Amino acid sequence: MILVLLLILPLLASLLLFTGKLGKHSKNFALVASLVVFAISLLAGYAFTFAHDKILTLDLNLKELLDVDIILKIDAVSLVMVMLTTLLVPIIIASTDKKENRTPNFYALIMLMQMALIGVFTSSEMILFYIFWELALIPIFFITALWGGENKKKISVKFLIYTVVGSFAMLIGILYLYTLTPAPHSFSFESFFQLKLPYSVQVPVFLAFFLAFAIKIPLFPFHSWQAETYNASPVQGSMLLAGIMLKMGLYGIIRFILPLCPDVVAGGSLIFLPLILFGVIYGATIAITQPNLKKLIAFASLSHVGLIALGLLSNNHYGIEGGILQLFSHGVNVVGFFLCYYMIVKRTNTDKISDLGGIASVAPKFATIFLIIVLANISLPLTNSFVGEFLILLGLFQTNKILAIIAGLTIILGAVYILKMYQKVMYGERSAATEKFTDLTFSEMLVFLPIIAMIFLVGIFPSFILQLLEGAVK
Amino acid sequence: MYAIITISIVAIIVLFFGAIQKKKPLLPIVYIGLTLAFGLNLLGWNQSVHYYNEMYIADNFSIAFNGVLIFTTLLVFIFAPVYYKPVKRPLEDIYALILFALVGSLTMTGFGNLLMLFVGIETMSLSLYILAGSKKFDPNSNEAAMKYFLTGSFASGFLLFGIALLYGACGSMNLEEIKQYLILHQHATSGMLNIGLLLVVIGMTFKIGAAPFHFWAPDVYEGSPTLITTFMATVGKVAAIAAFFRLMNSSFAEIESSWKITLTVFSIATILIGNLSAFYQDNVKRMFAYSGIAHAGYMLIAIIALKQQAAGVLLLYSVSYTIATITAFAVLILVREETGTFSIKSFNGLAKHNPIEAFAMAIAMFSLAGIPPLVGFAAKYNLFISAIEQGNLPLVIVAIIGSMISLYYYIRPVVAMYVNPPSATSAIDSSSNYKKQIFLAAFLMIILGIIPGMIINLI
Repeated sequence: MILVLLLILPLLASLLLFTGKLGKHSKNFALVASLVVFAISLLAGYAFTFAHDKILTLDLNLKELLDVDIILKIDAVSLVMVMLTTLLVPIIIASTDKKENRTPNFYALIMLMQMALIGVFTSSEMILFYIFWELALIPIFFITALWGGENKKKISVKFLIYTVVGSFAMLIGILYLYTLTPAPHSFSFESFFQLKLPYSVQVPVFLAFFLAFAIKIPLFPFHSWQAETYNASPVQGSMLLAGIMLKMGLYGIIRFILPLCPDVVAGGSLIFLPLILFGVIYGATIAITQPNLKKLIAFASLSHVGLIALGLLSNNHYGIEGGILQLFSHGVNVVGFFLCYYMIVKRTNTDKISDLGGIASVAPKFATIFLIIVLANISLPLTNSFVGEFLILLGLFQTNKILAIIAGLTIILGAVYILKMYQKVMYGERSAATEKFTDLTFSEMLVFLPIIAMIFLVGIFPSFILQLLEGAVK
Repeated sequence: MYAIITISIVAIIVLFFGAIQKKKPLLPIVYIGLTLAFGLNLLGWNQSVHYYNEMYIADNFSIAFNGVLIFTTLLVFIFAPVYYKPVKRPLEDIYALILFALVGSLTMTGFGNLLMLFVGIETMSLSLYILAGSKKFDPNSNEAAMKYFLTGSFASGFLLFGIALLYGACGSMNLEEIKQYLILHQHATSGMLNIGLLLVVIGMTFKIGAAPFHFWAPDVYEGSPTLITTFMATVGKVAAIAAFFRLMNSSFAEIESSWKITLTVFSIATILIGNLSAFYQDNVKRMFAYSGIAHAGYMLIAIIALKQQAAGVLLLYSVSYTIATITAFAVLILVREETGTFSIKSFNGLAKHNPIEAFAMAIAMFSLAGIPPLVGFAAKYNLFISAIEQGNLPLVIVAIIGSMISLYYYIRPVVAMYVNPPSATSAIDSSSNYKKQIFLAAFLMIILGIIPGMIINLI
């Protein structure tokens, strides 16, 4: 029942918002709805910890009518992803400034997106998964195309086509696996996982799925849509993309590639790990030279998610655990980072790093919060990403020492671009743009609160997530 | 059968009212007649009656497809008053010809004898030839009619020749008897039979507008009056593909190895040619012509993956294609009325002033592209499943690549509507009735996308 509510509530909220009847109250309504969904997901977490086999299942038995089995399942990994989604969506909605005057459709699309994302993370049937996977694309496409900045048309279409090409590759993989399942054929995850594919079949399956996920995450060399799309999207769109949507690809790696193609992951690590690693270093290096803040976040994110993918594909349980934990942490951190960016842009109307400066002297509260988020991004101990990245590097080290040493460089590079940026933006002489910078208001602080709380909670006390994952990873 | 008779009578009544220059009652008569025919058609459900020496078979397959065809025609007629608003004369000839074409297409879905197939195809085609040229003073329309007539009658010749050869080889034109003959002789088919079958396949391929016999489609679709194009692209195509399916399913399933490869090649060529050509079109009407060709290719997959469930899948695909196409054309008619061109630019900023139309158009485009959770996706995925279960993975891969390509041109009107600044300053007037129909169609696409099983398991 909880699972159905998780899906239905955002959908109903979205439909109600689409009618436009709520007018000015749209934002508040969406915020309340998303908070209710968050509460339900907490309930689901509560029910989960007391479920004896650590899994919540729901089968609606509607095969005759719908032609698709609706099987929803929450295991530990799904739970983490659902929590991340339901935690971030209220923050994203709350962050929207009143002055921007978004139409009800904007919030309706965000709620629709939430529904699709929860669907992706909970479905336990291939076609259902694929439906949600594609559905998630439509709201974000419209958010970018309608409320985006410069060049929004070209970039949103490019983004859409790029990701759909990947999805179609996955669809071929799904259909192919379907024919391999014992008759009567079935799309349920169980029947797929029981296949025990031979190596020669694992390779094409791996390629089909990996293409879809690599585009979504994005991994080098499929990343060219990412920086552009982040830049063109309104900041809420960027948060949705970087915070949650990219995690769909990583979730896909955990959910499908690891169980379906174990031999490829074990044997091929020297083929694709260096490629991903190159992307990690490449993203971090480019971030150093970015003149504008949003692109810097985009490339930093490229580097961070690449590292997560490395952990997941390292074929080592530390790496996988760390990867999942880091999925959660990165979602929180990147949304926090975008929020800070939004606070700056809202007040100064520019995101060029060279135009900014001296904010710390006028806005001490903002400076503190920004510093915490920034340090979390470079995985300082006691912050959430430290635990995740440490585990990832540990896992990688056990798989291949040289790769791990090179991957460790990203932490140094990360410190370079982040601290350089922070110094330029926050300290030094005040510029014309930052002359009238005001500190955070109470309500803005409130939006930051859950992010800061999660950074320290996971950073100091990571075991509650790690314990959850332990059984699932095995 | 009663549906066919009803519609024929309605068409004659329409002609009569036209002759005495009464304009007002024409459309109401058509609406009532078609609704009546729709109901009468459904009455025969699960009865499987054979008429006139097995000439016509009213089984669930034909009833389901006839339902789709009649409903689609009804939708076309609902859009007619807007399209023909400037025309003062009663238009009885056009309405009657559309109805006669419908009669032909209803015959095609339920034929039990090759002669009946030919009669149905000719009844439909002859009406369509005239309808294509019904904009008498427009050279494009004349050109379309002429092209359609010349190539179409050529294809009919092939079909008839093929039927004659099949008769020579099998000694009968009855589908059931041909099947019995083939069961007895399936390992030693004569050359005459193979050539006859090939000619029939060519004739049918032409009628559904699949490559390599698709060259007529873009020009004819573009030149014909838009309402007629809508009718041709939906009713004409669905009837032909249903007839094709029936022919292959009930007679030639035994010797599928002899035609399967040909059709697979046709299907691959159609999907690629249709999608790649649509990619370059700036004219939306022409783009839909190519998209129609591509969809004919997808529907051929259902024939290649012949088995019991394929009929249901084909029905779902027809429904999804028909609703989406008709919605798109309905919006196109409105837009063209306002801007005077079919160029993609005429869609600029439609969402601002006409949100309902833009929404429906976007849904139709996404459905045609096969984006979940719309009906287009459900149809495509079921089609691919049934093909893949028969071991046709390469064909499915080509089809999926085709879908990827199609996304680009389907997304263009959506982007134009939602992102580009509006070119018109005010909303395009459309009656609330028209709006309701369009919205209903969009709603159907979403609902059927959620419950496709209802249609697939129908037959």
